[in-house]
Amino acid sequence: MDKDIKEFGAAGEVDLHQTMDDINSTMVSFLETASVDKVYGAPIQVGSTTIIPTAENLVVMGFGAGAGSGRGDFQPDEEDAEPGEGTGEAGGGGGGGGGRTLSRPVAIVIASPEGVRVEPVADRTKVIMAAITAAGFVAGMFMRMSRGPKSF
Amino acid sequence: MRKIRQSKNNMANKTFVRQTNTGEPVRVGDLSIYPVARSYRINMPGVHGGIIWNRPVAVIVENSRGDRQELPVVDRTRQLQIAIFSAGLFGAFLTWLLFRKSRK
Repeated sequence: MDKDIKEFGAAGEVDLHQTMDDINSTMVSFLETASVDKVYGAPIQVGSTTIIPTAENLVVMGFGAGAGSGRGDFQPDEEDAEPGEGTGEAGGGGGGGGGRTLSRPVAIVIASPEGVRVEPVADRTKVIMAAITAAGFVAGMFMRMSRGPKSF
Repeated sequence: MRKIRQSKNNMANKTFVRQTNTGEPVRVGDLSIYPVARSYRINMPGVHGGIIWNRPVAVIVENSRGDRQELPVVDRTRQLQIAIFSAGLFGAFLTWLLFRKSRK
């Protein structure tokens, strides 16, 4: 039986090491997102003009893993062993994670024979959503205040 | 593009890390354009993962004589969002103030 447990333990360690390696490689990929080439795109040549797109990006990620094993303390011949308690050994492990990447264009760098300029990109949808939200603040306050004082 | 310069504040085990990276130059005629980006990283203690926010900061234009000019990258969407949200909050405060005075 000891041999079996040792084998199980070894297998469990191998799985856990594999999982931790996977986590580390994912972590390295995650940290690599903090680089310049994730913000500035590849230059695009249009005639004598070169365009470099720029974007901001937000990466959120989290993951974890765990494993465990155990075996029953009772021997089959022990009197106080309840049914189901005994010599069995078991183990398990698991892991999970999730993440999200948000990206948005910010500006375009235009390099031409006349010079270099940076043209900002305004996201109309986001601006309109902000305006609706701001109008909601004012309308909400107006409705709340026009109802009059509460009487108890 | 490859990172050619990094700020020293890039230790992975810190909770909050701010990095400024400069990429390899893009050559257009006799001009060299260096892209500059900033990244903010939040490492949550005891958790694998975190948050990374990358944004462009500026481009540095260098001519053949070695003269450098920094052109900031303006985030117009963010500026408009902040202005509109601030106006909304101010408008809500003004509404509250006007109604409060008229009740007295």
